[in-house]
Amino acid sequence: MRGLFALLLGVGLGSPLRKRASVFRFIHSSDLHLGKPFGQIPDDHVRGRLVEARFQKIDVLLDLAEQKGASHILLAGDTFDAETPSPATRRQAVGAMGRDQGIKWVILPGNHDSLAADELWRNLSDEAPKNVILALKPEPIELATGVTLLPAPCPARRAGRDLSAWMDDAATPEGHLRIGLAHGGVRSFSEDGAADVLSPDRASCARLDYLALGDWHGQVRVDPHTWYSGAPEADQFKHAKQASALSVTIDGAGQQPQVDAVETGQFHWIADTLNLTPGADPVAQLNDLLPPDVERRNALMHIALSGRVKPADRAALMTGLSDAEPDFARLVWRERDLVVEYEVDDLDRIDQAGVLRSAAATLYGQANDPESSAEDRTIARNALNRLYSYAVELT
Amino acid sequence: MKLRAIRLHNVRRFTDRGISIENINDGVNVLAAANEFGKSTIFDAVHALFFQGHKGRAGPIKLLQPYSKGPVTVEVDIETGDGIFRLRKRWMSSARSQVFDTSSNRLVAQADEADQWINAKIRGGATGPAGLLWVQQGIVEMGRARGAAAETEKSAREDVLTSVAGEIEVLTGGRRTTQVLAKCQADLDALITGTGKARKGGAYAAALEEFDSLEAQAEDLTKRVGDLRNDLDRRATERKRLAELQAPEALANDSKALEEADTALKIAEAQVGELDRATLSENLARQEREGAKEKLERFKSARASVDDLQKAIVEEETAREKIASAHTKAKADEGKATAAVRECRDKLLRAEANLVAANDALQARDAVQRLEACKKTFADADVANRTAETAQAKVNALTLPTAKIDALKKLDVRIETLKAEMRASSMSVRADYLNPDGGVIRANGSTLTDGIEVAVERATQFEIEGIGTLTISPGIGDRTVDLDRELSAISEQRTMILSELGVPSLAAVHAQQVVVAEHVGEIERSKARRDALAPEGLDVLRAEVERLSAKVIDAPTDAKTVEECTLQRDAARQSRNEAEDMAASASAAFAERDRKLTVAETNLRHSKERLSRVTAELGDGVDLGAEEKLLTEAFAKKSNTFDQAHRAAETLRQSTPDLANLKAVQKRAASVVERTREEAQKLTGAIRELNGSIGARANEGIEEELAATLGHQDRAKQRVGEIETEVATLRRLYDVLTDAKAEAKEHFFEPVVQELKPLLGIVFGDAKVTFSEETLLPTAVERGGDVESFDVLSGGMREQITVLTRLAFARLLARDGRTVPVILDDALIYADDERIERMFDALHRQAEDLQILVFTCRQRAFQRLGGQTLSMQEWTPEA
Repeated sequence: MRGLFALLLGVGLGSPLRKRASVFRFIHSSDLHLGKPFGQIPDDHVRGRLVEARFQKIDVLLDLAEQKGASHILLAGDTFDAETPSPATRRQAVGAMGRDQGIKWVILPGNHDSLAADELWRNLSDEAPKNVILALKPEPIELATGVTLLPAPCPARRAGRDLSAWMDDAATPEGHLRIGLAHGGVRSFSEDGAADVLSPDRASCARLDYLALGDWHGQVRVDPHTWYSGAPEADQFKHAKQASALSVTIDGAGQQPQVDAVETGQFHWIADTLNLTPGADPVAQLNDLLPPDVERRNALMHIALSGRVKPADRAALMTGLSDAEPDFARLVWRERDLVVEYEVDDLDRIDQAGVLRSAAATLYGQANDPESSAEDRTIARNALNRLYSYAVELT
Repeated sequence: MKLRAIRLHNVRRFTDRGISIENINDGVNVLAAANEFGKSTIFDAVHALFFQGHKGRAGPIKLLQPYSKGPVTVEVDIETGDGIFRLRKRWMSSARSQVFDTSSNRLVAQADEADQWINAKIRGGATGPAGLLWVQQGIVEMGRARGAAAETEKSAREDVLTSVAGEIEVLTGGRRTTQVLAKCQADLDALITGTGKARKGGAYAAALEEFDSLEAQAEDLTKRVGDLRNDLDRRATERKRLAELQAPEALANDSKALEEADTALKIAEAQVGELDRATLSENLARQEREGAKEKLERFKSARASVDDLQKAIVEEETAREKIASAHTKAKADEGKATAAVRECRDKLLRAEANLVAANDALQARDAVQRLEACKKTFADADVANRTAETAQAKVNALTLPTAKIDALKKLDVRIETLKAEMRASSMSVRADYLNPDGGVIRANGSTLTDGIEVAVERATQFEIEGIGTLTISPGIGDRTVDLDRELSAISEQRTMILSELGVPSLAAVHAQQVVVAEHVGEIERSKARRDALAPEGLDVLRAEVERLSAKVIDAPTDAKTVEECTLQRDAARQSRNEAEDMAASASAAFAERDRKLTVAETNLRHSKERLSRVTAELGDGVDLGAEEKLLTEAFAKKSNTFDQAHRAAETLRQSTPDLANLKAVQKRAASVVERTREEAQKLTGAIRELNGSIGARANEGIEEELAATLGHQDRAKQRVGEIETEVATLRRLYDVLTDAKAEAKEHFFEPVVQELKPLLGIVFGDAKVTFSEETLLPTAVERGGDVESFDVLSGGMREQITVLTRLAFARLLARDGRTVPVILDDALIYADDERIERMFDALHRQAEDLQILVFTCRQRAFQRLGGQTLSMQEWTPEA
């Protein structure tokens, strides 16, 4: 069936009669980070699910390629999370890729799995099925009839230069599609990383029909011919959108590619803020914020609590959060910016008089003493919250 | 604050109807009614008004509702320093809270503000415990716990100790505080020990252990990953290097360079062999030429030496003759000088002997002179000595005893004194001549001097010129008799002493002493002369005379004078010295001549020997000119041979390359090839080794393990941080609670005890209650010297102490400006008649500045309480 798709589209079979590609479709993805352990996740089960979800992306991308009629899947670096992944990680990956020999995979070494990891690439060379192309050298690869790939593999974790520069002078047959494949940022986020930055004009300078980039886990369109696909499975709270891959269609050399984002992620990494106001029902606000129940199993959610609440509301909110927590793969919240406002009534709930009331008043004063350090105020506030909890429990 | 009226509607048994208690006064107010009359309902309604917000629906409010439900209304009039206010609350449907100023019927506050207004009144400040006095007796345990407690109200009411405990607990935090503290401590203990260390087996220790373990694991993995990456980098570098080394072009270049160096070295080595041989020939020719040259020069030199030596020998022989002649003369001079020295020495010896003899003679003559002088001195000294001895004998004879002389002097003095006294005691006459030309008065032939008194010791006749005589006869008195008697005795003593001394008078004594003194002077002068002449004594002087007498006897009589002998000796010594100088000069001259002769003879002998040797070298009978010609020709021939060999060698030197350079080039080329081979071999081995090592580790997935471990470590670190925050939180809470508890003890405990004392006195006489410092509860009562635990006291007594304690609290608050009503709901149910009377006294004592409301079902017993009696009336709330 997949072979039939490829035949009908006239790509991927290298027909000697047709030197120019009419339409070329492929899937652009990157940063699978296979083998990433997610050690910061405390729950072993969730951690296992996250690891497994990344592996499943191979099948997802294959299905997407079939669905979109794409002949190739280009992985723009960091397919593996480490330079020396375990044999299981390595073999199971290439095993899954070999499931459909009709669809070719192109794997580009990224900074996590750079060419310095020659053991990895030597093993992959031995183990990869025929439909897996390892783009290990910066030299043209003819992907299909009339389609030339210009890869820029990372020779080391920090190359110290624009690895895509060679594409400008790379010669390809007249009329061939020129597709670049590279890994790295088009702008630097560190002072010493400027040398590694890829030129954002590379597609133009190197006359590329499409430049498939990896490294950034969020999806970014640099220009109509230059895209970061983003990781097909999210691994952090940094990106709001659901993880996806790009389905790319190029009608011919010089044509603007048609790029479609297709959601591929299983897990939702949601970072949100719950700004509370005194008087409003905090639990209701929380419920409004939380995703529907059906999505929670595959959601990792971080809620930054802020605003002001009364202690009873805070207690209710904590109860609400604790109640909701089991629904999620992971639900965490931060109280750093949440101010618990104690009024006389609240202090009365601790006690109307006597030692407990006196202690509550002392802690209240410490928590609101502008001359104390922020840390000291936080401790006093926590202690007051705790006193409130104890007192309420005993009432 | 004081209650003035209580009204309620639709509360429990007062279903859909209202009752009121009006006109509540200061002091004691009593509401006596039978059970089930609704006293507790009134109490709970008032309590709810003060302590429950108007929006409340559950708990205490529900308990106020009658079975038929409906809104509950409670209204109270209170009087404060600001006036009389009406507080009204309605719960459930149409809930409201209102405060009115009754003087103007003005709405002061409503809803939440009204609740807050009421709270402010009952609390009396944030820490005020006013509310406790409103708490129904017996159900104050843990403050406002109502649900379960209400069901056991009856039993709780019997437990008056609990009530007291409640009072104190509310003040100090009591059991509730203890529970909170215990919970806080338990939570803290679960994490840390008393010293602040993580408790073994606790969550904190576990988190720390996990973090440490993960840290160690991560460190190990980081090292292993680092090693693996280093090995990967190293292998890549070494592979690259091996490829460079094994590049065919590079290998071919190295081989070619080595071959060329080998060839060049072989050619050069052959050339060097030929040059060595030519150099050997050159050196041989040079040696032969130098030999011929040396031989010729040596011959020429010897030939010139023969002539010089012959001339020198002639000169040296002449010189030797002259020196030998001088040598002979010098030797003769030396002999003469030596003889002259001997003669002079003999003369000197004789002159010195003469001088000695002259000196001896001189000394003899001197001894004679000294003997005469010495004899004279001795004679003078001896005379002086004898003079002194003679004078001494006279002194000895004439010297009188000093004591007797002193006694004699004293007696004379006394006699004169007595005489003076006698004169004083006798009559006296004095003539004053008025006419210088007139006559005079005489007595015993002497004219009386003008103006001078004259004593008249005995009968005296005075002749007065021109007049006649005047006889005066003085009488004899007792004093005169005594004086005369003493004078006679003393005069006898004096006469006796003079007789013993052998002198007639004291004047004679003085004259004899003068003579003795002169003899003493003679003695001293003679001794001085003797000592001057013979300072060492007469015996020494006498010995010297004897010694000199002996010398005079041995002295020569014909000796020359010393001066003559000295002159002769000095002349002889001069002659000897001169002779010795001359002999020394002659000897030196001879020695010099002898040395020169030896030198001359030696030189001559050497010259002859050298001539003999040179002549022998040249050969006897040889033609020296012909021989020199032969030697000159041989040298020329050898020089020519050397020049030819030298030119040939020089030619070869110019054309032969530097073998060392070529060897260095060859060595370098060979080492390049060898080093390349060795390095390649080494790299191959190292890469093989790295392949094995990397292959094994790369399949361990240690990077994945490291990433997972680092994630776990971050999580563990976060967990440790969370627990440390928890520890800090619990510590802060614990510290603040502990401080507050200590402050509460200090603030309330002691004042309450002091306030309680007089009340106990009223009810129990000498009873004294002991409170626990820890729990602040009564622990024992002491009466009449007996101490009883509070637990074993009768229920009545415990109840009474409870009530008194509450009154003490109320009084304390009142003194603090926070007057609140005290409500006693069915208190004192166990008190007997006598005790209840005393309790009433105590209530009235406290009621002086308190408002006390007593609800009781014991109508008859409480009739004796006095105070105002309250009553309930029907009441309909305002619409």
